[in-house]
Amino acid sequence: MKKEDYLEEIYKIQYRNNRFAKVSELAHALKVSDPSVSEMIRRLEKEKLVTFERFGGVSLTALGIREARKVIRKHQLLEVFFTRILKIKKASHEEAHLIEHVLSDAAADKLDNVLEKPKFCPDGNPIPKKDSEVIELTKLPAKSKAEVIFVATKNKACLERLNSLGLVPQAKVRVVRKLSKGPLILNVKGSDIALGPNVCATIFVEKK
Amino acid sequence: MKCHEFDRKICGADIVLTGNPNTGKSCLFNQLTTADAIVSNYPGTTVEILEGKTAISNKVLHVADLPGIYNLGSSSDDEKVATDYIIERKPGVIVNVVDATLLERNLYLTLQLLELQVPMVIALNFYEELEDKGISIDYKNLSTLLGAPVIPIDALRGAGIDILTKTIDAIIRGHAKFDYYHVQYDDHIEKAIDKIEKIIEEDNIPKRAAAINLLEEDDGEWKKARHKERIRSIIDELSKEHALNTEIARERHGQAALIAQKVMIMEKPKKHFKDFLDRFTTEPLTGGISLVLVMGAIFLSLFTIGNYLSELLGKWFDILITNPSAPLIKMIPTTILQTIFSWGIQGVNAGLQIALPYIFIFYLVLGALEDTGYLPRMAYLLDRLMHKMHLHGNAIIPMMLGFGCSVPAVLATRILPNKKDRILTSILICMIPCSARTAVIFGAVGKFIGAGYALLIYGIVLLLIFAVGYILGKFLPGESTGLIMEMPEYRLPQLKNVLKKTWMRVKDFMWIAFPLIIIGSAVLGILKVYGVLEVITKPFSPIISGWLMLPTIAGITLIYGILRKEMALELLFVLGGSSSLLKFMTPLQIFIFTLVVALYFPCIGTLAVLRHEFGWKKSMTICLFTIVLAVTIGGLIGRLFFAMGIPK
Repeated sequence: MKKEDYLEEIYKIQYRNNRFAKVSELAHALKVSDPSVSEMIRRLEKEKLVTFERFGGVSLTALGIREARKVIRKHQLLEVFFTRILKIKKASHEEAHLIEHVLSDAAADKLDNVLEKPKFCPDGNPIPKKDSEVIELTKLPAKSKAEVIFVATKNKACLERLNSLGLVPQAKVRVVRKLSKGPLILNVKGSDIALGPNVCATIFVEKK
Repeated sequence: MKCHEFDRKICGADIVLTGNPNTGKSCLFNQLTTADAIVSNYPGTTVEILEGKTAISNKVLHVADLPGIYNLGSSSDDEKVATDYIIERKPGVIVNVVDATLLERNLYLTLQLLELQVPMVIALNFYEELEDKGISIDYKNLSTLLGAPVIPIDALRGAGIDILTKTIDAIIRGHAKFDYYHVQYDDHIEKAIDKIEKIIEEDNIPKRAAAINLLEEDDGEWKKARHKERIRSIIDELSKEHALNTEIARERHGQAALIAQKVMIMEKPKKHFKDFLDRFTTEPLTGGISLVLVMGAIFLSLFTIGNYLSELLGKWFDILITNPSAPLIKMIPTTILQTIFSWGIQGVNAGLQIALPYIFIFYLVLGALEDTGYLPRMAYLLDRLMHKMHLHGNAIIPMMLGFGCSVPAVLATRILPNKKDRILTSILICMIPCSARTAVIFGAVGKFIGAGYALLIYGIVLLLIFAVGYILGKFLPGESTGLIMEMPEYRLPQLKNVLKKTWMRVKDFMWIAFPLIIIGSAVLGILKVYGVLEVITKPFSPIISGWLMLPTIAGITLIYGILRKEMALELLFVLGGSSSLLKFMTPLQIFIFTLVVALYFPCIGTLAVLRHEFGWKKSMTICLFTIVLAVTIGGLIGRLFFAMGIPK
């Protein structure tokens, strides 16, 4: 199993579930043993692609998310190519999975152009844009707009509050004010919400 | 549905007001009932369920005002209280108060409430503010889409209330048919809802709503389902692949957005002064400046207007009461009665001169500040400072209320998301100079030594609060959630509301404090006449005169201060027999006395509320801690000043 596969799977779990990924579920999804997952996670942690807490699980860093999205983009573009151009319906997922690792960034961009920059993959999931800037909300400068990718917090009360305020994956947000290294005021669904820096650090966004 | 025929504890109120925080529920509550709920402009003003009565078509109906919530759930104490009330007790009619200017976000809760299938009416508050924001809402269409009546109201000025009550009346009378909007979730969630619906047996809420709630709140406390294990296994199975809470939230938000889009037309909003004000008060540099200005203005108004009023009241009291009554009292035959009367009058005089002006002015300023919407901005600006005390900006609001009175401030900590933050904030609140202590600081130090020294007392106390927060925050166990707080619109304070709030907060002082002062003074008078006073003060004298370097009579006033903090100073005047402290105390003694009063034991009322919220053990520990702190610091500061050459 390659590093990219892990990143991709962690991303999928976090994006879908808005929570940390567990070692056991990664092992199950990638069909490998728990210890090999743990070993890979240690490697990814060293490369600053993920953070790992024994009782919380694995979470991608902003860098990890960017890497994961690169692979996912290739995968999804290939899927579009298979279904739209080659008219292959079945098994396009598995084939895309094999090719994504060897497809160069330049080739992926060409493919994107040929396909006229598709927005969604055949399953209806949004395809990440090229060079999309993924950062923690803390790093988003004042006045800029972004879209929430996911929230990585173990704190249930915090997650529930964010959910009910509308800070869910794909929500559009705008930084209204910001204090240096401090809290910021975020416009979500028309209302201004002050968020402390430690809350912001758990929210990953794509800068628009 | 006719709840008043049954046990109210089980059945709940006929009308329940619920909605997002800061949408004007309490304001509407005051309009509907004759009650006086405190109304302010920050999320979390109401932390308890308020109950009142209203008469609609000659029928008395019970109305309950719930703390504001974003979601039916249990992520904070106030949210839990409100959710439990709605779910466990079946209300006759739910009035969902919605902020029209934030329709989309507010509709999230509305959709959740509709799932409960309880007769419901939506009160669209702040409807008159829409025009300024360039928004128009087709509320009739909204009503058609939701399947529930939507009534535009202006809760503050009372517009639309008559139509609202007519609608409530129609719902209660007739068998209102409701065909509510139905949020359709993703297939896997709908399947799980079906499965759970078949298992659960509760009937206090519709099975579908119960099932959705179970899926959302995977460890919600109200979950007392009989077939826990079977439900658990369905949820666990689904949770492996899905984040149920987020998915359900996302779906509901999505559909709320669609509905909002269908009924709303948005144009470019007009530029307003309040937009400028918002920017000025929250930008890094100007925000800091405005914070200093606001705090300075509060201090200055207390010092100037408070002092002025205090002197004015003192002068007129002497002319109208003290001087004419003196010869009358002399005519009383027994010394004991003479003492009771003259001391009682002196007590009232002290209360009028010391406590009332400062407490009144402070509440006036606080009330106005609450109504502007500035408090949440303070929370935002001070978030980083609060981190040093292992707290977050949201603790600022209860702490600011603590400058008024510790009792509602401790209750207000319920808006904080976890126990650790609540306890730590409550401890700090006990040390914050409440309005009674402010009266002592201004009435003693401010008046007889100078404003600079009054400021110094605040400086010392705030520094101690910071130090205690810094140290205790490290040791108290528990994980803390960060700041998540909505910033309300700036609004112009309404004089009527501010005056009403001030009166409600000061009236306790009139009804409780004055009788207490009179009785307290009279009792002291009797003790003095019979020579018991010396006997009582003696055991305390090593601490009072030895360590704190105060006159022995100060000890007895400190005991009275436990009842109400300002009594300590008032009785000091009575015992000293003069309206000038300088006649029987040195400036240094006044300073130490005030510092001790500001810090020790947070009065009996606060002890009661601490016990109610946290139990005996914790509340007594907090009180003992403050006494030790006050005595230690008082003595140390006194010695420090003495060493610096200030005479005892």
